Amino acid sequence: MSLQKSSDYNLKKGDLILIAVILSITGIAALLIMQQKRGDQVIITSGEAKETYSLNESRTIRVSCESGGYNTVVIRNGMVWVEEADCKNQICVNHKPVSKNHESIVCIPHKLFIDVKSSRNNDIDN
Amino acid sequence: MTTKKITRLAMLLSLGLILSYLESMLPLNFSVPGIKIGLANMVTMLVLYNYGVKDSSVILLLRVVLSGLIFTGLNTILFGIVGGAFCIAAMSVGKKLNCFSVIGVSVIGAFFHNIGQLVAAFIVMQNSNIIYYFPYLAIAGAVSGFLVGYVSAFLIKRFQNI
Repeated sequence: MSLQKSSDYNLKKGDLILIAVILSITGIAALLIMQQKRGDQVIITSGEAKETYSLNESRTIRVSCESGGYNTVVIRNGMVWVEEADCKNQICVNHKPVSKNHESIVCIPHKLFIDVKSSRNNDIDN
Repeated sequence: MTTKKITRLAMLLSLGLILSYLESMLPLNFSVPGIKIGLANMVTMLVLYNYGVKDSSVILLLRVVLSGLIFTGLNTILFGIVGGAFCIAAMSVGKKLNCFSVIGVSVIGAFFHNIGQLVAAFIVMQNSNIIYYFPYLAIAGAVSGFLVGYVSAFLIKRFQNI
């Protein structure tokens, strides 16, 4: 058993620097994350799975549902819509593109929910 | 390995298990999952300082696997192993550097344990949103790491003469 130096028990200068470094790394990370989070988001819930995308990045997402079907969700020009789906009623495909806060598209047969979280509020009913 | 050492390490392992269990029973409910005190890290620190990296890695691995099997459930074993591996690696490097006290080494361990757990969570859930937990976990880890390190310093000092 090796004996420790007595200096190992008391707070050293290195400890304080370490704690300061950790706190500043955390602060920077928190700032970066908050900046990223502030953007407008699209939340796609398929059954139990939940994914968040940025509303401002154009992309096409193919969402497979548990029963084997699919929905092709398109995010473009700050709007979201369902381009194609193999569900029975095609209500999601016929839904107009959504872009404002709390607007959503739902595909009941595939248990798919598309929600928009945006700084742009829906001015209808206000 | 003498009988004395085997017996001591076994007792320390049981102590670690008890501490894990105690912590899982504490009614501390934080809004962020994953925040914990890390009481059992006191044992890891104790073995690391008084017996070395190899013994403390073995004790840590055994504790994580056993406490997973007995108390918390199988899925926590993966998280515990990845977190523990990060933690023990970082702590042994921190100890070798010689510029940190026991408290500093404990804070390093807590910080890297959190990083390890986030890595494990990322592997399991395949979801990058997990990174949002990082600031909360890092701050909680710094605080609890400091406290655990403070107690560990006393423990290591006392256990040296036995």
